[in-house]
This record gives sequence, structure tokens and C-alpha cells, in this order.
Amino acid sequence: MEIELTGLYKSYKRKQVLDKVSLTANPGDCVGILGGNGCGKSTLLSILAGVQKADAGSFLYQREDLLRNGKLRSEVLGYVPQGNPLMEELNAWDNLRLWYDGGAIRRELEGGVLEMLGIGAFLKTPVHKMSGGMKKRLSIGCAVMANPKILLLDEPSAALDIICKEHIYQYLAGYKAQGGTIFLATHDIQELELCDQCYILKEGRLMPYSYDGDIHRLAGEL
Amino acid sequence: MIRKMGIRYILLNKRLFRKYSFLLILCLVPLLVAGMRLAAQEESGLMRVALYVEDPGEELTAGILEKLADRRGVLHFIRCSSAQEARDMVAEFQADAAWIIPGDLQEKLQNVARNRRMEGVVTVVEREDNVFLAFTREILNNALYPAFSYMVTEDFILQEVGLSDVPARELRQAYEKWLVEGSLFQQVYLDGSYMEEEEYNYLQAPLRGLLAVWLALCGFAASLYFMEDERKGMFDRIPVSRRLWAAYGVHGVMLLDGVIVLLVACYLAGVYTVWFRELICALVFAGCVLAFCNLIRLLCRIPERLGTCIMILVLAMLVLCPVFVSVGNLRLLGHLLPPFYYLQSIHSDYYLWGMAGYTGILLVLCKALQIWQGRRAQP
Amino acid sequence: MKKGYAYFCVQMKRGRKVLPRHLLVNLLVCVCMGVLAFLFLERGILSEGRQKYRIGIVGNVTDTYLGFGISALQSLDDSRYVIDLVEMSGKEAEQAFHRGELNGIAYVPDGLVAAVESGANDKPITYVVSEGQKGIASIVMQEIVDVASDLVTRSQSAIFAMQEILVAHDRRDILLKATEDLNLYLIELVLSRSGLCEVEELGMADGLSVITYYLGSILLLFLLLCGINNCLLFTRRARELPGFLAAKGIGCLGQTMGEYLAYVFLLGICLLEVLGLLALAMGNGAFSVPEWHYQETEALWRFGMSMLPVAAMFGAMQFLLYELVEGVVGSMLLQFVCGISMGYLSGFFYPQGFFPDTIQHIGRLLPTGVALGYTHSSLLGEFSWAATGGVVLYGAAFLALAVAARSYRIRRG
Repeated sequence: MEIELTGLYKSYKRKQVLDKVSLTANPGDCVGILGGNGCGKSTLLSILAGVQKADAGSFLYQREDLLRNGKLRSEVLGYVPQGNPLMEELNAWDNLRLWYDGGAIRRELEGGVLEMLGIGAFLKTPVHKMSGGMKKRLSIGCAVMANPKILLLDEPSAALDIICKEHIYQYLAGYKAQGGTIFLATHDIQELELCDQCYILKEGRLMPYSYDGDIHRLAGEL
Repeated sequence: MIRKMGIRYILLNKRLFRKYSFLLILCLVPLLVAGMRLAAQEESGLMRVALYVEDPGEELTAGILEKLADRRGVLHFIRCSSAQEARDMVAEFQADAAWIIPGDLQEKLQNVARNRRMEGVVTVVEREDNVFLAFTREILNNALYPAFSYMVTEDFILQEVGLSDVPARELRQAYEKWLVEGSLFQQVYLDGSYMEEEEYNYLQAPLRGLLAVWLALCGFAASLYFMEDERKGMFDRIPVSRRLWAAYGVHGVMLLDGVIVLLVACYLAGVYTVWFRELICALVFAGCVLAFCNLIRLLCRIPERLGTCIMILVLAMLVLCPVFVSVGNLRLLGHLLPPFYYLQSIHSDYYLWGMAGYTGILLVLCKALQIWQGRRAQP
Repeated sequence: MKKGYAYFCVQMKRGRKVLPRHLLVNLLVCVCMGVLAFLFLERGILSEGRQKYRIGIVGNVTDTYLGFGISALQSLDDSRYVIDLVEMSGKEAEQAFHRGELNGIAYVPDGLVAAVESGANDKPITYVVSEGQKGIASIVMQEIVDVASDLVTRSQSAIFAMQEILVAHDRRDILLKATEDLNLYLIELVLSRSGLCEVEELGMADGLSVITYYLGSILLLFLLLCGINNCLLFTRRARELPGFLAAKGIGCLGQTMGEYLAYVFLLGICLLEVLGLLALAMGNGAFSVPEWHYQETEALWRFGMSMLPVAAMFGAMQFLLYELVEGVVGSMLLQFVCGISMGYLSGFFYPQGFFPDTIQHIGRLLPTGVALGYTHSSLLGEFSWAATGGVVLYGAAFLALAVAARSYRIRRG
């Protein structure tokens, strides 16, 4: 089934951040959204996640508009924002436990998504003592444990070391292989290689881009 | 569902107890009230009276001093070694009034009784008259009246009626035989319970009010924490339509802890009544605070605005609610604030039901505001 | 030094950016506080001091003596200037009490007069003065009614004793007349009992009136809680910034002083704003300060300038709290709890004389107590070395602790 984003508009104080943004995707696709700093990538993802409201537009999944159906949206979407929405005072286990059943968490730790993300290694570590990579992996774990069909990731590997990045990319590759759709806002060249489709967000408009490995050409487009 | 709620309650509480500033305040409050209760046992009074007694050994004066000693807790007496010292204390604002009791008090009172003409027998020095000082003079008059009324009776029987041969002992026995123990008046609450069953003084009296305002402050703190969490994206996986329930949950955790501290602190403060009543009132109050704080949070929308409103609302609570004094003219405004109901609900079902009703209204307003804000933001 | 000054300029720039918002917020807070103070003092306490207390009388008061007693209280006794007695039914009384139209309700039981006349006194008059738990008003009322009760029972005892003596000495022939005469005489004495005190009034002299006292307290409370309004300067600070600045050559002292001085500058402007509002209010006759003897504008500005050290001290205290507690919510909570409890103990709400000696000593030693003492001197146009020294010492101590806290934060990383 197609996933269709049609005619999304968003403005802040007379500045048009998103101007008739549209795209389509299929299950198993990874859609990369590139753009300069402050171009509106995070805004786009937060609108799709339902955190912010669009001025106009629709986000169809199986012909249901997720922008208007909060219940379906919470079942279908997993969202990992740029910052890490974790409770600093609690440890990884407690943060997961806030949303999921203990049994389900234990299952995922043994051969499931949490094991793939390597969360078991720091399960009892308080969030405020975790490194950036650990926090990001935990945030992803919190988002994907519900087995969402669509994953929205906002710069998932920003400020992470190579090993952490590798963990995440492996997970994302596996997620795609299982039919999950990813919307990925990124600056990272390595992440682009994961993407089946790329778009550049510039001056509010989304334009398809075919990445061929030429960074200079990409920079020129941005 | 219940299990999930319970787990979330435990985890949110765990998180709360790791916020050391909140933990500090939670522990500080009962300590402060306990300290206040200890301090209240010391000598103090609503008014300070500098007392000079020319002849403390004199029988009548000793009786008066004994009667005045019963007023400890309302008046604080400072004994002076001279009349000038007592006057100076008033002039220098170290005392509110000075009472100078002469050595010939008995003689002066007898003269008044005999001559049937009122004249001053005790000198009272004040800076400026007011209602409170008039009240202290009533206490002084009351201390003089037993002896004075006896002298009047004695004079009446011996002189007016003409029974001059009645022995003093017989007169005294007859007078004391008819003396009545206790007061003709009893102060009660609207629910019929007696006020004298509550043994705390004026210093402890505002503590419950301060604790009520403190609980409201906890509610506002919960609102600020919730707004911070919302900003960080903590509740993004909860649909906007259900986020109000998430807010209630977060507030409820903090307020439940606050209620436990409130009840313990009331007990330590010495203002505790019956456990069942206290529990019901505290829980309904917590619900009212929860709804009130959420309404303010929804109206303010950003933490900085809420921070400003908190200060104004807390000050308003201190003034408009009967924390320190109950001011009749300000009652209408007080009805908008949760502590107003709580402080009056301890002995009044009228206010307990009123508080529950007001909570309902606030919850409805919260929901309506949330729906309206949601519609405004829709494409 | 140069870098420290540059950092101070940066902080001033930050302060300038948030200044308009702070001024607006402070204006709002001042107006609200002013309205509350006006309501409390003019429409509340002072008005009730001028108003009469209305007491509802519930029960059968048709008895001659009772009716006479109530009438005598209303027309002859000194209390008639203070108390209004209104007869009504129980339900009416409760409703009026809930609405705030009555200050209390007295329930007169059936058979009261007979019980008093027989000396049994087993039917007390119950009365209600408070919907909530007892407070100062109910404690005072309890004392007043005990006084009234004593007057009645002593007078009663006098009459019964007289009657017993007459009967014992075979003078029943004059019993009735004597009873009446003594009764009337005692009533006359009770009604003129205030004559037993010879009152000397010294006048206010060097003291503060109620309005002036609370003007000082409210201003101090405003300064104390200003840290909440001004929290914008302290929010969203990067944790790594102090360490970064230290690496760049701006140590903890430079950082603290740069931020603190900018903060105090902001507080100073807020104080000026408050003074402006007070001047406006006084100019429009909203209130006046008796101690300033009609030179109010000049005295107000002089007073305001003299309050700058107190503003600086409270600023240092707020600064320290923001340094000690991470997280704006926690420090705001702590500021509230500390501010209100210290203010209470130091006499912002109740006069200091209300408290036991120990609490008075503690209250005077607290920063709020020192500030209150300083403020009282300033309101009277006097200078106090002790109070000024206290303010300066506390300010210096808070700053020193803030520097230490910043240093610890930098070392911790």
C-alpha cells in the first residue's frame, strides 16, 4: 500500500516553512530528506508525527489520513526526534517500562529489536549518565518496540561514534527488510546510502534528488 | 489497565524522588511546621503588655496577676521594674500597651464601689487606640471585675440594704457559693464540633493555610515539569486528544505525594482533626488543585508565562484565602482559588461539596479549552 | 579583567534583550500586588476595622431579660460601635454566614434565662465565628465571650449572694426591690466598666503605621520573589558554558560577577518601575504614607534609592539559588518556599511581636529580617549602621557562595 504525503503547508510568522510538500513511498522504502540547517526538515517530521499541526495537507496511509486520525497515527508511526525524549532521572529499563510491558521488553532484549540496538548493555544506567549514542539507541528502542509501520527519524546518527552508527544502520536495514517504511531527515552521507529515495527541502519546497555519490554536486543543490 | 497505571505511578514517583530539589522541599515542609509547633509552646501573645505592679505581694493584686496568667497565649506580659520602664517600652515599640497597677488598688476599687462613681484605678499607656488594644483593656477589666463586683455587693449589702452586722466571712461564703465554673458560651463549628477540642494557638493557626498554598505550588511545579517534558517530546507517542489524561497522571503523582506530606505536616503542626475527614478533604483538594493547575497551564501554554502566573496566584491565595486572616469582603474572589474551599471544608460539608463541584467545573473547562485549542491549530 | 568586562557586556546585552518582557511581567505583577494590597488593606482589614461585626442571633429572644440585654448592648454598651446583633432564623443565619454577610452566629437555647436565673448554667449559648478551623479571629472572639461570660456569672453570683444574705437575715420584705436595685446597679457598672482604666495615649511618634509597615513588607516580598519573574536569564543555560568560559580565561569570579551585575541592573530597573507605579498611585491619592508628612514624592524616591542595597542582596540570594539547583523548576520552587517561610518568620505577614522571643531572634537574623529592619529605617528616613552592615554582609556572603558553587560546577564538568 502506498504512503502518500500531499500538499503540506506550514508557515511560521509569515515565513513559509513548508510549501506544497508532497511525496509518495512504498512499504520497505527509506525516504531521505536533506536540506541545510533550519530548512524545515525537523518541522516536516514533527508534523507527520502529529506533534505540530500543518496549515494544510494530508498524510495518507492505507487511504487513512494520519494527520486527522490520532489513534491510527499512534499505532502506525514511530517517531525519534532530534533531542532524546527520555526521563533523565530514570534508567533505560524504567524508560522502556513507562510505555511497554516488562515481558515484552524482556522478549525484545533476547533476540528482538532491543538486542539489535544493544540496549541490554546499559539497561540499568541512568539516562543522565549515558553517552549520546546510548541515548539515541534507547530513544529508537522506545519508538520501535511498538512495531510501527512507519518510522520517522530526525538525524538519528548525529554526534554518534562509528560503532553506534553501525548499530543503528544495521537495525534500519533490518527494519526496511521487514517492510517498514522510514522517513529520515539527515545530513549524513552514509545514511543517504540507506535511502531508496532522496529529496531536498529548500525554501519550503521538496524536490526529488538522485544521489550518485557526488558530494560537491549535492552541496551545490543545497 | 490498573496495573499499567500502577507501574507508571511508581516510575513517575521514582523520577520525582530523584529531583533532589523537590525531595528537599518535601522533607523541609514537615520539619518547618514541627519547628513552628515547638516554637509555639514558648511564651508569646497577640499583644505585648508591659506590666508594672507597685505591690506584687498585695492580696488583691496577686489575685489579678493569677487571673491574667490565664490569658497567656493571647497576651504576652513583660514585667517591668518601674512605671517609667513600662512607659518607655510602649514608646519604643517594645510593647503594645503598658499597665501600671498601683499599690493601693484595693483602696481605689473600694472607693469606686462606695462612691458609685467610675474612675480609673489602673493606668493604661498606649500609643494609639485601636480594636486590639480595646480588646486588651477588656481583659484587664475582666481581671479587675471579680474583686470589684464583690466589693460592690459587699457595699450594697452593708450600706444600701443596711445589714452592717453581716460578718465578712458569711458574705464571702455566700458569694463564692454561687460562683459558676466555666463559660456561658461555647464556640462551635458549623458541623457542631467544639472548638475547644482543638488545642493549638494562634501561631499554629495559619499553618494549615500555608500547607494548602504549598500543595497548590506543588501542583504548579507539576505543570512546569509536564510542560518541560512536553517540549522535550516525552509525550509525543500519546495522541493529543489523550494528552490531558497524561497531564492529570503526571500531576496526580506529585499531588498524591503532596497530600501525604500535607497530612503528616498537619499532624505535626497540631491542627489535625479526624483522620477520615482529613483524608477526604485532602484528596478532594488535591483533585481541585490538579484541575486548577491544568487549566492555568492550558491558558498559559509556555513555562515562562506560567512562572509569572504562579507568583501572582500564590500571592492571591495568601491574601484572598483564609490563611492568615479571613476577610469577608474578599470572599467572592477567594471562591476562585482551591485553598479557599479546603480551609473551610474541614468542618463544613457545604464547602466540601463546593470544592467537589468547583473541581468538576474546572475539569470541564480544561477539556473545553483543550478541544478549542486543538481546533484552532487544525489545518 | 578585560575579558571579565567583555563578559559583563555580553550579559548586559542578554539582559537588555529580555528587559522589555521583564518590565511587562513586573508591571503585571505590581498591578496585581497593588490590587491585592488595596483589597486587603482598604476593603479588607481596615474596612473591617471600620465596619461593625454582624452577629446573627438564632433562637427565642422574646424573654424580657434577654431582649433587654440585647437592647442594652446595642444602645448603651461601648460594644455598640463594634458589634451589630441581628435576629434571624437558623437557616437564614447559615446562608448569610456562608455569603459573608455575618461575622458570626449565636444560638440561644430554649430555657437559657431560666437556667441563668436558677444558677444552673447548663444551657450554654453556642456560637460560630469561623467556617474553617480556628484562627486569630476565633481565638480573640473566644476571649471576648469568656469576658462577657465572666461579667454575667459574677453579677449573677453577686445577686444570689445578696438574696441569700437577705433571706438568712430575715429581710425577705426588701428582697425584690434589693434584687432589682442591685441588678440595675451591676448593669450600670458593666456598661461603664471601661472607666476603670485611665488611658494615656503617647501617639505614634517614631513608629510605623500599619499601611507603611505593609508597604515595606510588600515591596520586600516583591523583590524576594522577583527571581521567579526574572528566571528567563537563567533558563536554557548550556551546561558546558562555564567550563568553556573558564578555558577562555574568564574564571568563576569573572563569570559570577558578570552575570550577577547584569542581573542586579535588571532588578534595579524593576525597582525603578515599581517606584514609578507607587508614585503614580500616591499621586492619584490611592494611598498615602503618614510618616512622610506630605513630602511624599521626594521621600518615595529617596526611599527607593535606599532600597537598592536590599535589591542587590536579594539578587545575590536568588543568583545563589539558581547556581545551587539545576533545573529552573526546582530553583523556582525553592525560591518560593525559602522566600515565603523566611518572610513569615521575619514578620512580613504577621508583625514580629506576634512571635515568641526565639522566633523573633531568628527572624531578625535571617536575610529577610535584616532587610525588614533596613527597610523600616529607610521608611522613616533614618540610617542604621547595623541594618546596612547586615545587608552588605549577607549580599557578600551569597555572592561568595555563588562563586564557590560556580567553581565546583566548572571542576565537575
